[in-house]
Amino acid sequence: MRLRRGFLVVLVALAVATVVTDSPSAIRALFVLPLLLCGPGLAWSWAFRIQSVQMEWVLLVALSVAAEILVGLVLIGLRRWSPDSLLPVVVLLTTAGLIVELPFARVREGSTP
Amino acid sequence: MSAEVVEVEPSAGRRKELDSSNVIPVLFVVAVVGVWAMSVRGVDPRRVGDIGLFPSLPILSLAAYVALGGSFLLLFRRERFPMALAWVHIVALAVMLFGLNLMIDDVARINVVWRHIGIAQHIAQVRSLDPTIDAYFNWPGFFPLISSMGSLLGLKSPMALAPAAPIVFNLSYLVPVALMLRTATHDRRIVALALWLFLLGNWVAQDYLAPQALGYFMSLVILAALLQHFSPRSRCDSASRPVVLLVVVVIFGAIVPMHQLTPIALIVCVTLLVAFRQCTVRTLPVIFGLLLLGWLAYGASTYLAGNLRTLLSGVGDLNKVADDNVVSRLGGSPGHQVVTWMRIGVTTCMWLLALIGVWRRRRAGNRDVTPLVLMFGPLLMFGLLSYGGEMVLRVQLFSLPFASFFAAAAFVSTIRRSGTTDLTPTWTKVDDSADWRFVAGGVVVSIALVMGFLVTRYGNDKFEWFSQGEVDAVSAIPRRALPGSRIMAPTGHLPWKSTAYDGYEYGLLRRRVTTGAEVTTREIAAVLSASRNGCGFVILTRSEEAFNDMFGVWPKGALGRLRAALASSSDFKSVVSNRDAELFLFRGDPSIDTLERRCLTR
Repeated sequence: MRLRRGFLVVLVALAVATVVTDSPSAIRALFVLPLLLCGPGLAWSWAFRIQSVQMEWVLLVALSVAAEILVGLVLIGLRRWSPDSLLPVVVLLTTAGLIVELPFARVREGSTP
Repeated sequence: MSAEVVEVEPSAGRRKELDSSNVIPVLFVVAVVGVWAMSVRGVDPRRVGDIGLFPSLPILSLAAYVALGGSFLLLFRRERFPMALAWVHIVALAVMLFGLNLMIDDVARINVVWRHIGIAQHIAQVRSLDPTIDAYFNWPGFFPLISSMGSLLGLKSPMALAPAAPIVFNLSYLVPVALMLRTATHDRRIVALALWLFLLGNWVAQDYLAPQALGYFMSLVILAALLQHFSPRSRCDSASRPVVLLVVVVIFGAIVPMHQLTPIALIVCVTLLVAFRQCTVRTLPVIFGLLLLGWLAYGASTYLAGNLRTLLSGVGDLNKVADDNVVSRLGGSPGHQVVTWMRIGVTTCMWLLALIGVWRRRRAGNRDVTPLVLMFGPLLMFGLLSYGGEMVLRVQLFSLPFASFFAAAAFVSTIRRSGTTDLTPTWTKVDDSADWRFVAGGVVVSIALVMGFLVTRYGNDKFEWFSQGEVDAVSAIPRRALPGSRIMAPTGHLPWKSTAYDGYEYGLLRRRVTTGAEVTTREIAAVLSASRNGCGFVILTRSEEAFNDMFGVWPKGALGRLRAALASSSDFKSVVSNRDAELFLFRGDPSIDTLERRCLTR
């Protein structure tokens, strides 16, 4: 669990950094693509409680993509969408998943909240 | 064909798979992929004929497919089936089957891909959706996503995502398909062989950068989740079910505004699962139906308002569906008819194998209600809509996972012992090796299916492949033509609309001028002079000529003769010209010369 959270925090940071610094596409692809494809789903996957790792991963990838499609359409409807607006949305969804998980994670990992 | 049986105790299997003896097959697979990659790089797509890419492939590349198939089938000879090694082979097959265009082409193939990029670019520019443009803007979910991906990856255009799309999508299908199949059998040999056949059977080419490809992945994930968590026999933790159900609904909610057909296919499948008591969430079809109706009433209302009558007129009309989907596809040049008949033959073979598999599994005592429902269920869609003559392809696509499962079961029999089912984990029998007849038969069938795949999948390459020259001519349109001009092409099989999607009045000559006779410059001039701003262009490309010669919209060679006629006509002026394409401006009376000054932007 801690490993997953740590991985996500690093992934978000690196993805944002490569976009903000306008890094070459090949470097961006290393961090942005994994974040887009599995960031939001992985951040919320603690709620799935699925035993099968493969099932968990396909669900979280599909959930990430689904969330990005739906949020994109909502933003277009609100006239707030731009191609780059997906990144803050994904960061927000991922961070929200990590924050909401914290109280549950503390209980699970045996420490008091 | 195979020896009996079945289960391997999992941990023992995994220990075996880590054995050093497995290194050699892995190295062999890597070498085969390397040989394949080197051999296909030399293929000249210009030499592709009416039968498609297959005759142009080097013998060495075909040998690589055979070697991979042989190596895969030899795994079935092992005392315990090595699933990890099987996955290595399956992934290699996916790369070799769906990576051909990535290795050969300079630019993305299939005109629809260029159109999809144009829609994504258009949405990125205007940052809103105008549902009056066309049907895509009534189901737009996919396009903002790829536009954002392209932008965040620092690409000039999402087009850079297109060449790898078939490999990526097909690899992504494998995991949910495997998860579905594992709810039907514990026999890993059947799962592995079914995945192999799934790839070989997926010739319908709906895996390019398109809403259908992503929607198909998401629909497979939904079905896998339902079978794993909401089947009456599910052994999954019940605490996970509410969240999984919520995730399933969210995923379906994203498919609805993305693709017209996929939600309907899912509703059909889920309704049948509920009706046959294979899904415990009995309200799910209603939830899915309400989501679909909600989108149709809100997001797609513009399209439906103008097309509902046309859409409903074909519902249940089996004659029209059969005519659009089968009869109209049987035409074309003699070479293309070979491809068409191969498609029918390969699909028929797959279904015959599947029926044999059904019979064998039934004889072995397996009930297989869920696989049968999901194999035959999509056939119901055939009577619903014609879907522009593509419904039969989509039915094949949605039936494929479990058609492959039963086709695999035709080769690998699972003997049910007294008091058990195929799904009862017993972990006692260890003899799951296949006899030589299975391997020999499998090699023959596998070779036939690989060759069949290469013909059926790449049978349209003569007009689906585009050269850099064609792309250069098309990309000159937004640079040279006054916005709002009428741009006409003979058949539409060219890489256009990837920029300025809504900036021009695109049209097809085959809908405007006489077909069946020679097309004349006078007819084209009449069509172009009626444009809204008075400006008109006509573009002729190699791919258009190839399509016409294969399908005979006009007599063979007519477009070549038209190009010469336009070049010599005083009504037209060649604006861009290269070996593969030419863009002509309609300038009317050259002595007046106003059109030329007004319509050309530089």
